[in-house]
Amino acid sequence: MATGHNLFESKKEFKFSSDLKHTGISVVSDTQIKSTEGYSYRFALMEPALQVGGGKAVKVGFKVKENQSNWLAVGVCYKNTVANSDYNFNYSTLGHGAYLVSSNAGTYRLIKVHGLRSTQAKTTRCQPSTTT
Amino acid sequence: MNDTVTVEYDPIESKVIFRRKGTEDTHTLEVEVKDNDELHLCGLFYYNNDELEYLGYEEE
Repeated sequence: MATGHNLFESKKEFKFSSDLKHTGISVVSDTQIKSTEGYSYRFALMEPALQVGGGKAVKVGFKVKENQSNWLAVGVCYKNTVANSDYNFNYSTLGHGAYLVSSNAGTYRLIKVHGLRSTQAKTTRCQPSTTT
Repeated sequence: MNDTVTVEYDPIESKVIFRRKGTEDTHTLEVEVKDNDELHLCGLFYYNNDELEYLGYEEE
């Protein structure tokens, strides 16, 4: 556990799972993943799970290392829900339990897919964009 | 590319807050609690050869 207040001072606690991911994603290291396929939405999850329903807030940082095609997303998702879809994500499929922010050529959009709703919302502080 | 994004999960308020380092961008989503599932940090790709790095965490 990190004991100070300097974000990113520790790389421990969370790591990318070699099991909880789509086969089209490679775990380069505990802290780095790379997409090895294209043109489908694919999840990679970190372990351990977040503590829900109480406990302390957790803040983590992600760096976009390579994003030549200008789209990827980070956030949180429900394991069983995503695993039941083989770690795929489809905007038109309901019940995917994911709460994400997507990077789209420098513009950031919210993605919330849960239960019977699939919504995207762009905050007013984002730059305008016509694609997602 | 090379953007840094923080993801903050508040289990008491059950919400997730996204911040983009170096900007004023702040985005908040309420997370529905599911008793029969586990919530995980994650990345989502669409294109090939994209890379994402986890930088670390802070417990508040």
